[in-house]
Amino acid sequence: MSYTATVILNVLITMVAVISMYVLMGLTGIFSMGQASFMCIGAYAVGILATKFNFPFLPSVIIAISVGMLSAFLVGIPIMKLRGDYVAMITLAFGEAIVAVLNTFSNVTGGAMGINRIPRDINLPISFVIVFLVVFLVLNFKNSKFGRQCIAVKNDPISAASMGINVTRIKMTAFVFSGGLTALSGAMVAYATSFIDPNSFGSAKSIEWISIVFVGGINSLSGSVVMAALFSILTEALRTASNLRTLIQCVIILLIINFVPNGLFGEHEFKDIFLWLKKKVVGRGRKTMKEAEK
Amino acid sequence: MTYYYIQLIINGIALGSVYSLIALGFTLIFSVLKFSNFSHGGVMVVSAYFAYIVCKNWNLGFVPMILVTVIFGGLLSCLAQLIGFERLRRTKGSSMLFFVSSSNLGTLLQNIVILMFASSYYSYPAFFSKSYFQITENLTIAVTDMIMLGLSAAGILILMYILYKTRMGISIRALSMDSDTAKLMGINVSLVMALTFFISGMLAAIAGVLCGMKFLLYPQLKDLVMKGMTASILGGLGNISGALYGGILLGLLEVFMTSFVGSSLQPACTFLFAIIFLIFRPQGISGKFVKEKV
Repeated sequence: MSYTATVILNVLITMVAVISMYVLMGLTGIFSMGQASFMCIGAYAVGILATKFNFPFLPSVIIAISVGMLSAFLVGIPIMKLRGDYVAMITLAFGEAIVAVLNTFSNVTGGAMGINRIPRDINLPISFVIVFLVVFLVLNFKNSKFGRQCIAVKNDPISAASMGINVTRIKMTAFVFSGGLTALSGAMVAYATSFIDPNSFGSAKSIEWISIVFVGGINSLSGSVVMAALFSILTEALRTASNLRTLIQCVIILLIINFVPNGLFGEHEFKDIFLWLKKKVVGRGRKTMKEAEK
Repeated sequence: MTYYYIQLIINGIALGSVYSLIALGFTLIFSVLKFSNFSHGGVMVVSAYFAYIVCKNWNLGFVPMILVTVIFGGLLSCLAQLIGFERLRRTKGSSMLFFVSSSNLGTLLQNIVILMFASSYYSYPAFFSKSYFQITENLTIAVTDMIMLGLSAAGILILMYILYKTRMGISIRALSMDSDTAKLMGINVSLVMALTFFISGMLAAIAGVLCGMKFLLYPQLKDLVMKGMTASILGGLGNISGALYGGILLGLLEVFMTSFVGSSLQPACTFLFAIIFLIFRPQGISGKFVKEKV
């Protein structure tokens, strides 16, 4: 694969991960500091299936997603009833626990050496299809009954509960859904890099995704997607100075949080921007169909 | 064999006292601003390295070094509050913004250390001629552990005195109950907030130096803040005495787990314990939930 293709592939993988974080944070308001551990689970599921059992692409990706959802469900049971800070810390501890388990059972997972020689079964068209599917799914999720309930839970859990929303269940749905998406991105990582080790899925990654969601816009899928692309290109551009990159990134995020607290896109999607542009271009004289009906 | 267990208990309490110290600084901010302050770890790391510079360049003894570092940590924490939280607090940003801001501040501080010192290991010069005390034939206490125990106890006692006996402590506790009412009662909220961060930074600095002495000096020392958070969860989030018990419990737990299952699986077992603990007693040891107002 050429350099450009690799970069684009990385951008797409980050996009899937950030979208999963968007479901969790942007929609439902759950902080998960250990979301990268679900990526780790997905990657290892694919790694073990593809190298030890010679599973083809599609079945192992589906199994990876299922394993991610199952583990999100198990982790979610005790903590989804509690306030957000518990979720942040327990998921963080979960990440450490996963690394410990992977390092210990080295006959299956390869220990700290990781797993290598995973077949590179992924290419750009497949990843584009995956990203497209994920965006479609999440957009529909956002506009569905669940998505609206998620937003209600995020804005005020107590009043959401008083309107008859089962807060714990909605949080659980979002957590399991996003666990599956993150595991999918992990599966993509395993196929794209053909090498995985336990230490590359630390909490720093999760924090980065959370920040990208916030910078993009508190309730905007488009913002998350655009920012995921921009940030992973920034990573690539400053590859030779990765510490400096983190520094710059943190400063940018702090500035945005302080001065544009709703994020760059705010609550808007691309659709709103197109509508706004259309209004500007077509002019105010003409009425749209909806206004005419009134 | 009994001696072995007594030895484990001694080590556990010494380790736990540092965790309590981290948990206390963390809980202090949590009780006032109602969010998990992830930048606490950043302050710990920077203070620990500052102490190293002080030792190296000025050749101070142990006590002056601690004093200088403690003041530095307090000031650093105030600065972090000014950059990260003051504006958010004024504009009444959502707790998610505080969360993202603090985790980014933590990463920022850690990366400043990495840029200045690289990711290699440092250690403090030996402050004392003896490295351990022999109590009986089979029981020893490392001097580091004794200092940890002593300094933690001193820090905790001073904190308790400030919180419960002085005027400033009363205003901090008033602020933790209701910041608007506290303001109406004539409390200068900004000043008290800055003082709270100052105290929390002082605790972070002590904890940072102790961790640097117990383990080695390296930028990932920041992740020890997670232990403090786990401790404060076990003790009951937002509860000062709970943080104390939680830290000791976590220290004992880790030492015993390491002795039973080995250090590589210990994080996984601790995680399992925390999850099971939360299922049966989500309110923590102290048994009081932080009530959120409608």
